[in-house]
Amino acid sequence: MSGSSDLFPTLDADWAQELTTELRIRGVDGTAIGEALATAEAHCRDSGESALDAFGPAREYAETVPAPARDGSAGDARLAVPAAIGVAGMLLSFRAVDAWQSGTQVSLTFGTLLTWSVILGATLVLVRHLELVLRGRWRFWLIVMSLSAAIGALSVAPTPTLLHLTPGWAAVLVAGLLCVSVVWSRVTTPTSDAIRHPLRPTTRSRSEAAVEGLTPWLFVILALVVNGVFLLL
Amino acid sequence: MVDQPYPTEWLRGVLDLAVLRILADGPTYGYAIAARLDDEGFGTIKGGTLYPLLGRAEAAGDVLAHWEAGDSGPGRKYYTLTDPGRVRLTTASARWSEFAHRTSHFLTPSLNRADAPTPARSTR
Repeated sequence: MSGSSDLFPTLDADWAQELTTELRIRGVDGTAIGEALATAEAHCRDSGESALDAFGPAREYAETVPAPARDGSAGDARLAVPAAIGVAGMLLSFRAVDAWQSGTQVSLTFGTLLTWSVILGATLVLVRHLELVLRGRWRFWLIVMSLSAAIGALSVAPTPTLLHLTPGWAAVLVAGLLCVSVVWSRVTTPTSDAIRHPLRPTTRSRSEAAVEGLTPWLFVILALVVNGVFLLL
Repeated sequence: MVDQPYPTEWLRGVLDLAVLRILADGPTYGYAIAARLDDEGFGTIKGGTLYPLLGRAEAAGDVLAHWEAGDSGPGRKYYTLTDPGRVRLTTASARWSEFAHRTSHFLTPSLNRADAPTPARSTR
């Protein structure tokens, strides 16, 4: 995605970045964000003022830019569920590889189901409250650390076993979960929403196109990389 | 220019009409509108006030906006008054004049007014 400082070189970069973040949080699309930034840039160039002087704090100005109505819970679920399934598939792949190496079985316990529920719930919350990620990074990391601790505790807690799987069947389940995640993500992930200048054509670089194409495959790639490293060690 | 800036709450009521009035003279861009407002005695209107107002006028159908490339810069967004905007300007300007007249009449010290009620006699 083109950075706003490339498209709007004379606009104060920090102010432009904050405005972009706030508008993204409010669900404003890339075209409308580009329009707001271009308007601010033209005004500041004409008036000689800084963006902060002319428009005030970016967070407050963002509230005056019309935002679309939120897609609601169904829209959040469309984004969150495939991600949560991908995480579940990736985590199960670690246990499947571990069981295959040690010649044991994979036990699906009540704790495993709870772990997947926590992941799904956390993903839904993060999709709905994007500001937790984009604003205040320490708060985001606090949430990630707390969730990791909760997931770790749930995985080692002695809970009733629901199912034993051979590594082969576990691999089938992993493949199924990751396939569902990839296909679902490709169907529901919004198409490119790059910030566009109203008067300049936006060209996508190869790296931007690659990142966009690989995003649905994120958990497959992570599972392959982590298990590959684990097997090599 | 005026000697003293008018209170913000006074401007708030008439600023959108003033912007439509400027656009009645022809299409123009944001900073030019702000400069004209300053010349007409409205004081310095910041971008953070002006553009949300223009956005609301655009959403209401009173103005149309389009971008024009600049010779030596990234271009400007021009605003044009629409026919419905012109009608609204005419109607609302008449209402504003009526309001301003009544308000001025009311605020004028009563001793100078022909229709002023006779002050009550002192009981002492």
